[in-house]
Amino acid sequence: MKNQEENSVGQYNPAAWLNKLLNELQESFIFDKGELDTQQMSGPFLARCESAAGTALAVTKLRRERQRIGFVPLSFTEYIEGLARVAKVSVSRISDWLGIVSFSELNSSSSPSVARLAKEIGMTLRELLVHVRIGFAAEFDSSPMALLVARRRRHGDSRSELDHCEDVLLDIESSYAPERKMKLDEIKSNLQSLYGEFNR
Amino acid sequence: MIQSVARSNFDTGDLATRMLSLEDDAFKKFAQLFGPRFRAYFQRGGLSPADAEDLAVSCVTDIALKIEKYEQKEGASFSAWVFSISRNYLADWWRKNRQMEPLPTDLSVNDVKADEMTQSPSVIAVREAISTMTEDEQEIIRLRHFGLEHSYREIGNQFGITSDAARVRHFRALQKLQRVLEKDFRIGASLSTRSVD
Repeated sequence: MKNQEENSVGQYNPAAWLNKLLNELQESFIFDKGELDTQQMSGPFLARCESAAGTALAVTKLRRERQRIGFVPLSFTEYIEGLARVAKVSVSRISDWLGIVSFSELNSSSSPSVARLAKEIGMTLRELLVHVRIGFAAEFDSSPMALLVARRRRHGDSRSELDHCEDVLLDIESSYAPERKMKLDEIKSNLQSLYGEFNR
Repeated sequence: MIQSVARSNFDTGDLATRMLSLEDDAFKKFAQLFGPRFRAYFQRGGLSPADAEDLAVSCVTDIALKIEKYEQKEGASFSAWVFSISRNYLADWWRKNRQMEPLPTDLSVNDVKADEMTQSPSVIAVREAISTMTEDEQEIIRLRHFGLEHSYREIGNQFGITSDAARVRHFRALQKLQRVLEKDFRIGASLSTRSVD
């Protein structure tokens, strides 16, 4: 009787949602069972993986230092280099990972890397733009930003360093020639859209 | 083996905690444990060995960089969290390279944005539901759905029953699993956010 009942049942097709969940579970199962493959992995590949993890560690250290230090009126390059020294991290490891030669030269190929690094270390878009504008102003022959900001601050002033820095930059930028101003606007607009693209 | 279906995550111990403490060795261990798994998983997902290797290396950096977003939750392991992110990387790779190959249908199921990457509660629910079933039921589901898909004849041979009887047992096991999962709130939530045929 039981056999008759069993034989009368056709192949059961699970509901689509159950099938999808079983597929997902199967994928995670395959992932976990990848352990055996570890033995077969090449030395150079493992070395690449370890170097990649080392880069992640370096960037995470920069992020932690940035959280402690916060905004300082420096150009982006000076800020990153200083942060790296404080965090005891190699700047070249970061630039190699991002595939750029210098943080100071902002062009179509380096801007995405600068935006990504800023996002990865928890720098806000506002801060990033100020750092970049400071670097841009320095090229133009500007006095040291830290001094200009200090000069502007008044006793009992509750505004932030970043606020003062933006005021100083507005003063400096008001004397830019139209071409130079247009170039800066282009850089800012490009960074704004790139920064928005990266999701941490 | 049966247990490995219900609870298949390998032990990563306190790796996440050590990575949060910025221990050099922990990041190295992460690379050694997960790099090869990423590569194997991406190759199984249809990538060439070279592409799988490049994506695996990127994943090591990118996922290690997200370590501060990892939250330890009961029943959800670190490796499951890592896996769910790597799964999205594979899906993204296919999306970006759509002109080269069609997007595999099973990869378009879970379209999760990068900042929404968490462990899938529905997969955890399936794992838990399977673990409540009898050993025979778990074994049939494992043989039929995980690793190599065994035929009913092979399953029947293993259990000393006919292939038809194996088919019926599989039928009943899946029905039971479906009934259990239908009552699970995690599945309901998951179904409401998915497009299910």
